[in-house]
Amino acid sequence: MKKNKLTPYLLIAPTFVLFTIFFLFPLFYSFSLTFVEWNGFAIDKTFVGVSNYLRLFKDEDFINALKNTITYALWTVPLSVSISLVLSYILDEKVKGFQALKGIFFLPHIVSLVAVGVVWSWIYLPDKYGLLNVILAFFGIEIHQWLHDPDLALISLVIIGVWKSIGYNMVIFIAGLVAIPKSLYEAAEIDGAQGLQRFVYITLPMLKPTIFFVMVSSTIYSLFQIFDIVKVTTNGGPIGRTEMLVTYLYKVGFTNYEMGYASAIAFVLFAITVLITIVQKKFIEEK
Amino acid sequence: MKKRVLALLLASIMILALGLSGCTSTASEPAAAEPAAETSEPVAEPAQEPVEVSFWHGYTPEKTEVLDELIARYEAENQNVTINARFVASGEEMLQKVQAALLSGEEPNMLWGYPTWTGVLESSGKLVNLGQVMDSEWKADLPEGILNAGAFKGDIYSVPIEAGTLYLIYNKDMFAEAGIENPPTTWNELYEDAKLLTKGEQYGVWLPIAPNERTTWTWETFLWQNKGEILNSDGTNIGFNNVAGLEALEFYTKVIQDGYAPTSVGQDPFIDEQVAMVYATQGAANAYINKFEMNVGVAMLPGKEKLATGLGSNHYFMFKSDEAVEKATLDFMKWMTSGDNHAEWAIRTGYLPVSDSARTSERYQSFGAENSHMIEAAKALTYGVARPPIEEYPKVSNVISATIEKIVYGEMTVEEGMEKIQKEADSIFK
Repeated sequence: MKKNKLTPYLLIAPTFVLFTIFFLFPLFYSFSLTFVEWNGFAIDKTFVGVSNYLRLFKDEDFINALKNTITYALWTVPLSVSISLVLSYILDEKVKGFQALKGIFFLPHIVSLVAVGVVWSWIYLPDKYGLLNVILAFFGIEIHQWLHDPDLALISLVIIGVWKSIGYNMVIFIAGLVAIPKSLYEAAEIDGAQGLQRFVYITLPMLKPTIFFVMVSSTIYSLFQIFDIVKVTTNGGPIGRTEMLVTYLYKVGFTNYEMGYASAIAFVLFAITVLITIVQKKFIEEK
Repeated sequence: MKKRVLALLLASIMILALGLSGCTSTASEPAAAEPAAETSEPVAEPAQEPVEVSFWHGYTPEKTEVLDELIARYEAENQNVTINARFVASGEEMLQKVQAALLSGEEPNMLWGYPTWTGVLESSGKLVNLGQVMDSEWKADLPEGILNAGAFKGDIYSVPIEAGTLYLIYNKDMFAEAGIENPPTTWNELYEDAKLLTKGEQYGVWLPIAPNERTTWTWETFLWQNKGEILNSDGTNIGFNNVAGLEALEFYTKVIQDGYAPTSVGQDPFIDEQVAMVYATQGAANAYINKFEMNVGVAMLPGKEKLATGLGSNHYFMFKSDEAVEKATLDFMKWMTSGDNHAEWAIRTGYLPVSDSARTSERYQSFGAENSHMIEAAKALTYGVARPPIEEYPKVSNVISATIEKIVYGEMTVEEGMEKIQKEADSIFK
């Protein structure tokens, strides 16, 4: 009987040990770094208390990065969620070549972010060198600098972000749509509901949990993981207009070699993400 | 059931061992690396004990090929030594790799990198003080200016292996088209020529503004030409918050703001014929001339109060390990940096040679006779100024380039920009 009690522990042991070594330990170690000043090379670390956290409030670059990240999320999340919802609804209505289209929309999601960044930075090349400008010029639209224009750089990144995430969101939406009982639509049709009415009064309410899930994951994604594309395309420029929290903390840590301060930024980012997740979870539970 | 539990147990142990093996080996290594041989006394070589030297570099594939050839030759001459040269990362990214390696005790014996890294690398306590172990004949063979580019707090922690300078590379066809006969020699001429060369989507000169070291380095040449200095005389803060610095900042940003230099560029604005002039090294000139077969001229950078250019050098660093390895590493460094070996390295890679013995060698002399742009670069080398290899330099550099970008985009005036640089410098040098 005794060995049966041991079996479950043994079963979870490998994961648990690896989790401790590669997740818990770095987490606590990195937290301890938020209280020191350290260049990442030196043998000695200087204890500075909470001054790394206090510095955040006075750091214009940090506030700028925070502002950019929130702006980016506010643009990308609603755009990508609404576009993918509409597209999935259309595809779900038995469009010809439905499977092939689904595959095509999903493709951007599985491509490496670095490759995506490189390709898009070519598309966005300034003046006559970029594909997008050449196409726009064909239609007589004025040539833009895109990633080099302080007013357009963030929007250019939003376009990449939306393009990249639509496919993934669609897969989840389509799964949600399939789960809605067809009898509801039939009943609505008998009552005389039109296409748009069916979408607003049946699809949307039934899909609410899915929408919330997609919104939560998209928000976290745009807060936490908007790194590779920025690093490859703009590296935070021009004049810091596309600097995100993650790229900024990377620069602080690995260009300025301030590991303590970088860790403090990381923990603030962590706190923001947890907060958003809790708020969004509350929403779902209320429904 | 018993068998299943046993199998499970074995599997867990295996995974555990796999996970831990990475940690245990790294944990024990720094201890092994502790006994440092910083003595200058020659130590008798252990009788042909095989020695392995790990060497990290960031060379392009073409240069790596040359390097591998030279290493093979060195290994043939020194049967017991194996040099494990490996491309790890190029440019500043190498320092990030080294940082991770130092923390886990996986650092190489020999590292190729920039002298500006000296400060941070030294703080690890694992860097060998090369000034103490290099022999006097070797030191005398290296020009003082280049050798001192790797000096930190009075000690020399690295040996130069390649040198390069910024000079003016210009498109002769565009110059002819604009009716300009000679390249500019002063700031005023630079401005006027850039104006003449600008039309439509073509610009006179490329002065970079992206927030990175290239921007800072290019701007620093203007600072030096105006008799300014990056640091104050005792090295405790920046030294260019004065007329010299303001004029340099103003001229640099004015050329761009007046529309004679582009704010955004494609892959390479010179190859794209987007600009007629660039501030670049002889490596770029080599590529334009030999690879892209462009009609290119080279000249010393235009000056103002004096002639000056950026002196760039790549250096070899050595990390502490056991005596035999350190000795072999040092020997290989000397072999690479002097005489015919070094002349061959310089000729085939397009860098400027660092040691006198290589520069005066017959081989390099006859090469120079056929490659006038290299002679021009060597001439520029005499006006070269090195960037201070202090720990704070990377941060100061970031602030300068970020500010230049902001001024160009009209976010702040030159004076406000200088104020911002000073404010940030105060906290960097606190």
